[in-house]
Amino acid sequence: MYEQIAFYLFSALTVGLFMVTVLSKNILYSMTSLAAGMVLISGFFFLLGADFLGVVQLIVYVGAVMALYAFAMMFFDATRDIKEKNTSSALVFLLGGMAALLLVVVFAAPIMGENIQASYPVIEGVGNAESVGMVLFTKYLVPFEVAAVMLLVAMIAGIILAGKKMDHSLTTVDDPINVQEETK
Amino acid sequence: MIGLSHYLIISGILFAIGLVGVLRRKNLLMLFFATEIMLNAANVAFAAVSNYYHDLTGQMFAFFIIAVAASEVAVGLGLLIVLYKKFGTLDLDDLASMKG
Amino acid sequence: MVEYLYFVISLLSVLGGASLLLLLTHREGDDLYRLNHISVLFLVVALFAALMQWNLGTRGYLLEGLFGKVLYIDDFALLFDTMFITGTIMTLLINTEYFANRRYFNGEYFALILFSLFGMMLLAHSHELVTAFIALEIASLSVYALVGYHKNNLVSIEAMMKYFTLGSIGGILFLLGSVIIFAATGSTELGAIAQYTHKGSADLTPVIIGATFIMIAVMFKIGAVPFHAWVLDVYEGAPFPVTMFMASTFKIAIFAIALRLYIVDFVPMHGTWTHLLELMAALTMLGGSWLAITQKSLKRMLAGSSIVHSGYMLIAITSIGLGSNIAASAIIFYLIAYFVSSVGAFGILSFISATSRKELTYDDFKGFSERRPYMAAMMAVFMLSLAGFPSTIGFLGKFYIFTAAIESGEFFLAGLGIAMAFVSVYYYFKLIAMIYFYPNKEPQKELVFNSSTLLIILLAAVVVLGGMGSGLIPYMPSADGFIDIATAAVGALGTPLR
Repeated sequence: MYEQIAFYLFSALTVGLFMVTVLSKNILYSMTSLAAGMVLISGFFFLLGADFLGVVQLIVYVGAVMALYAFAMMFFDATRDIKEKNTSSALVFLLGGMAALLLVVVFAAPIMGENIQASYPVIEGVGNAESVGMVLFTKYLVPFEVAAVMLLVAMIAGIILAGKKMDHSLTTVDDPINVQEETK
Repeated sequence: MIGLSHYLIISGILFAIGLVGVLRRKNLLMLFFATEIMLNAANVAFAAVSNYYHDLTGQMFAFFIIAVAASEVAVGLGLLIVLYKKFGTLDLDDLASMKG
Repeated sequence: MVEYLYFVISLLSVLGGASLLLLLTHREGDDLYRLNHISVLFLVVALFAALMQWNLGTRGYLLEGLFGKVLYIDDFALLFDTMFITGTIMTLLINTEYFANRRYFNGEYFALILFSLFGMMLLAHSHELVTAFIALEIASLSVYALVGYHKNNLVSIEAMMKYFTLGSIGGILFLLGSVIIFAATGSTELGAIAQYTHKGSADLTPVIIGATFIMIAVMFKIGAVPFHAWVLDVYEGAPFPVTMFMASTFKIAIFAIALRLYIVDFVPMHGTWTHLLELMAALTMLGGSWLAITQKSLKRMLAGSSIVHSGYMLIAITSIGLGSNIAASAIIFYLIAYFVSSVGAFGILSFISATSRKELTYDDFKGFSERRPYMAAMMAVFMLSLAGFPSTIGFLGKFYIFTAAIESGEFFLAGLGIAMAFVSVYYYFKLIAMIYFYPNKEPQKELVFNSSTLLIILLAAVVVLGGMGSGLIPYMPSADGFIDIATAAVGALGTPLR
């Protein structure tokens, strides 16, 4: 009973909030509704018994990623409404609706396989965080470490793009040899 | 009773919302928001399937998706800052000068 | 236990090199040459470690008891490792002059190249959709940053923007495919998926849907028509060494995972995909040829022609689905051929553009044979190989692909492929004509001879040797040798375990 109420509540709210994200003209509204939607997504994870994933969603997604977006917004003029030329809105919604229909049909169909043995079964009587830790640091140790490398690469890429010589204006510095003629 | 298909359907709907955003949005920041929505939809689906099979694989995949999303945001925002410094706009129509 | 580490020496060496280079980059100044040599040193160690493992016939998970079924070691992955490392060494050594003449290159460039290489090698070894996804992301993220490396250049930044946006959408499609496959088969491990799909009893429609999403993501990354919109702009906007790296090495890396998935895991759905792939192969060849013909800039022409080459490889993938025996080794042979020729062609272009700031067009090559006779000859060899002229490795690659297509009854695709090969003669031979049949207008320059020239000559030798019969030079693989290598690599894939 409670699960049903919670599920429908979360679904209605996330769909509504994400709609606001996608349709709003104002970046600030968009971002706020996105953050709120992500908080509610973690509600799904708690319902599904993935407690640790829900916590990670809150900390990493809502805490870190959205904070990063909020910081980035300070570079751009966020309060002004953005003007976009939406040439064929009807077509986009038609395409989106068709994609939605397709995905819902795919997901509503009985796609689950039969006689599946769980590779890393949930252990009864052990907390979710503990069992996640046990699998993550044994069977998924290599992807875990590799994910660390990935974060390092992302950091370097971010620093190269935005960080180095931030006090220089990019428009005034000219590279002596390689200023390609903008022929087109 | 809420079953697996309920969760998968909501995930599909969320994914479609993200897709509408990607197709519709011309502002790059908004485009990134839409891709985040799609990633979240995939996460919900993974958690749901994981719950159905009593298998932790799906949750593992979802963790790594979160990590990937975080790193893509780092690179993407670096790109946005450079673009904004150079062009003063984040609109795709104004940015595209090359015709592929 | 410890001896298993032997199999990951190349991976660890690349990763260690990348980390060390990161530490060394805090020094300011002109020691890019030194950083270049350090990275090449690590790569040579990795290359030797990879070559030492040939013919051991190793096949299995790396430390399955400890790490689970995540990394897989076989000759297939090893062949791709070898190609990736060679490609990276070539990229670094041929472009020595290029980055020395540009101010925007700094130490992180080498670290990013090595990280990208690490991601690609991991992609070839990965036997789990999670690892594949993360490896793909490592490689892609580094390449995104490399494409936008010249951030004062509007074109470079714009190229990165396009690549990043479309690349992340491709990644999301991969995820969508993975979640459907996970739902259908209950696992994301390739061995388990293969086991499930080969059982034959279950309904495989969901797996086909999921696999379709993954293949669309792959098509995005290799730039097959209709997902090719980014290729020309990105190749043009990126700095030359990066274009070379992407066109030769990164493109092959995508095929590594695509082939592993398609040959081993997605076998039962080959029938469903045949028509889709046929259409895509035909469109890719036609669209790529059109793009290549209409370009004036050589970089864009090569980008367009690389789409055509993807089209040829899609023919071979179609033939695999139709049960051709030789198609799998044909595609690997073609990958080797394309790799060698495109590294050479891009290498010469970037070697020439190292000291000039102009965009290279056909006209710049007028009278090139008088200015640099040897380099002109090498360029002609690479162009002949890319066009598929007999006695080059490119000819044999096309020959095998078309044989495989005819064997599996794909007469239309084979015919179209041959027609497109003749069309490609136009844009490749145009360059050769420019080189040899036009008078020289520019002043004679001093001939430079350095390691870059030596490597280009070596590549040209491989192109010619690979197009001829048995080995003239001991230990140097020629056509037969390359075919044996390709067959061995495919044999390692084989049928799923257990």
